[in-house]
Amino acid sequence: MKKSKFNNKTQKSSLFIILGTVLSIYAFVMLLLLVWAFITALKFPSGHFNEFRDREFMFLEGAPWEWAWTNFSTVFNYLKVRIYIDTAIGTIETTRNVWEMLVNTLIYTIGGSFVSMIVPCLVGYATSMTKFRFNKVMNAIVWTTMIIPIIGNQPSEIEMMINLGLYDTWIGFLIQKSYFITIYYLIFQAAFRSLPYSLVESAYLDGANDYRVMFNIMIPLVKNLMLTIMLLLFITFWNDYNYPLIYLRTKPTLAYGVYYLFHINHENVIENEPMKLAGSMILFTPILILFICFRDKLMSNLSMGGVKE
Amino acid sequence: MQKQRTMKKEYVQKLIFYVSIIGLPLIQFMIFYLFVNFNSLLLSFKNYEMIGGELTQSFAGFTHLLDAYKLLFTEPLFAYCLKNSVVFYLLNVISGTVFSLSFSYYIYKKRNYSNFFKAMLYLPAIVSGMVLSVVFKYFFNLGIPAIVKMVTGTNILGWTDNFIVEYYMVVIYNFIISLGSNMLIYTGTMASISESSIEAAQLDGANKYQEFWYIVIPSIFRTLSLFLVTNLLTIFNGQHNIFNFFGQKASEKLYTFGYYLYIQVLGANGNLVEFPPIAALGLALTSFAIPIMFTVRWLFNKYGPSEE
Repeated sequence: MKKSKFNNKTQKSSLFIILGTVLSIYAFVMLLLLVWAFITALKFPSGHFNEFRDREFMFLEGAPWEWAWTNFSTVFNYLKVRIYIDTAIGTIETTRNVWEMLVNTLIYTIGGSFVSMIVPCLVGYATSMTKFRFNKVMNAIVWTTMIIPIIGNQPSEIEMMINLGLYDTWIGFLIQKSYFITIYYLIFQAAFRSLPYSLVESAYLDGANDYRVMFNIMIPLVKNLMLTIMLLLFITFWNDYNYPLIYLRTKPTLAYGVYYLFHINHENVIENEPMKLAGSMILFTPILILFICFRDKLMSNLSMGGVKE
Repeated sequence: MQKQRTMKKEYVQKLIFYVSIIGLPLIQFMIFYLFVNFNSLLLSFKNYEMIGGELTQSFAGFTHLLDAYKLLFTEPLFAYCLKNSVVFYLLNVISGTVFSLSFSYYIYKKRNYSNFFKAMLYLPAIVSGMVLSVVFKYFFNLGIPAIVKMVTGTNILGWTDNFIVEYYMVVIYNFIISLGSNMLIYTGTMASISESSIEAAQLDGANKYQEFWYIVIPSIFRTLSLFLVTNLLTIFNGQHNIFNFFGQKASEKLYTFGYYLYIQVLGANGNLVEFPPIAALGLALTSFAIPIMFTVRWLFNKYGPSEE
């Protein structure tokens, strides 16, 4: 009798016991960090920094506390980002408050996540539902650009955007983010390929044109995937401050503002840990609410074979 | 003849549809990828100067590129960049591959509290990297001394503003937040493994370690190898949260290539005069990155496990 290579039954579930233990420790650390951050954000900043430091770690010291909800309104009122605008008469220094940052955040987040989702979706549809030879070129472009490392091309991109008049503009941002060479292209392509082609054929027989088939029949079938990807991108754009720091210098977002609060801020009133953590909670809370509302969509299993609910 | 004409008309209609959908994204790709990268190459050989208030450009030859190679091999700062970038990459491989895959397997198998753990592993993806790293920084700097004081009654001296402490803080943080990286893609790919393969292994008496190693890993190896290869790029362009932790004020000993390049571009403030040396450094790093990436990809294709 041929001996199986799988013959060890003794370690039946030790793998899961080990993994479960490590995961529990990880979850405890993550929750501890967030709970500590929330509690610290609600403490009154001490007049004396060291005095605050000595007692701030203690979760229960002096409980029940008088929660310092005013920290949030203080951050809202005092957080201002200093920006410099180049004009014909020279550089003007001005500031942007939280409300202006919020408007910028909404434009940045909604606009960015929409174009970054819809472009790979439409291109993925075109290359999976047609039989042009050029589809192979499109697929090769995506795979090749994903593995060819190009480093340090930001100066070139900025130079080009300045020359085209797109630098530090919303339209420039939207055009820059309208790329299809992402993993989402592959995910959408796989999703469209998994749909029954008979639907398309019967629609054509009924006299529908290509646009009607795409927008009325096929796109609605992947709307859950579209929503999932849009939500993932929404969170990414909401939290991103690296791009606005370089490409949208005069249009600070909330994440940019929180970066400013942590690393540059000149306002003494909010220059302490509770205020800084209150600022970070202002950034985090909308995303936490979004996550609670859409957790099933956000955590559906993405794969290059589509999405599994 | 009539049929041929109808077919041709249908082909033209399809072609118009196809071009209308892919045309603009393709132009965007040509401008923002092909042209930008070609222009980056040209920028390495240019000089920008402000003469009499006018921005002028001239041909710089190989000056910037040679300077970039010279700096990479002689400047101590870049030795730190290399060391840190490799250390953070390796940490990311261990954490984001070995651990993340194992955790994804736990979740895929729907073991105890797998939904809760899935949400916890997903947390770093929803919390802003800067918020999480700053919370971690405060907790590390203030919390750990407080715990030690609580347990032993003694104060740790020199804990804050100590480079070694800062270094391990960044190392531990990077390790922890990568634990759930790619988890959704891994669990999604695992979910597509055929039940019959798993059942056949179980009938053969495979334990969970063997099922994971002989069935799951080969089945998802294509996805895994793509991540491993693309992650290699982080050696050359990854900031590894240094900017999140320290803004532009990190100690030079903590620099990575990605962090250095980013703060150079940020510091240039859109001033074209400062761009050519940065582009040249990027080109020099690309000349190392391309052969490394393609060799690793070739090795994966040649020696990686097969799904059969």
